[in-house]
Amino acid sequence: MTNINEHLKKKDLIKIAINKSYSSIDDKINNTDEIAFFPPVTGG
Amino acid sequence: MDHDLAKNIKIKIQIEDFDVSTETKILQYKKTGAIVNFIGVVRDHDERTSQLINSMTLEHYPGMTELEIEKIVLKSIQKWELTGVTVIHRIGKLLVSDQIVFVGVSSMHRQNAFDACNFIMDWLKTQAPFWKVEENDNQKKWVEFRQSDEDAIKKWKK
Repeated sequence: MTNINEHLKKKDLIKIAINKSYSSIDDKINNTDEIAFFPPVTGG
Repeated sequence: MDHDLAKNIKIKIQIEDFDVSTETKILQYKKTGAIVNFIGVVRDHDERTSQLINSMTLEHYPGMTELEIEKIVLKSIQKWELTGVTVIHRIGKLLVSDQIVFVGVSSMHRQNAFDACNFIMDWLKTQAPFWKVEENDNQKKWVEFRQSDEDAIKKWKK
């Protein structure tokens, strides 16, 4: 078991997407935008 | 973009398996002189712990996955002269030795097909929003990203 805080410390690893497109934490958003936060991807 | 080539691009996210020889034939156009296929399969162990696994379940971000793969494929056809590109990625529960991903590239000459196939796979690994969870009898473990995958894309940024 780990604390959520421990994971949020690795925030540089968290990916952000606005309307299904990679974005950065400083990007502007509108009310109807779809925002996603997710861990590094591991497909392939 | 070459309009003929646009018709020769296939991107699919699916639960079902794929048939490599069928997909290879689809990539063979009149101008094609070389076809390079990459097939990713489920290995029987976790890379970090060497622990054996029975299965793996793949999840993804529907909509974004297709868009990201499309962006990668479009970059590849701008960079190399190609005659066809197919990317098929499976989702859901897969067993050891099951096929996960197919990247097939055809071109007039082999080097373009080799390079484009490598490029598409390297970018897919780091950009396409898929996640894997490995399963054995007692536990589930989310696969962590590998720094070596991040490093692999550096060669395309030069």
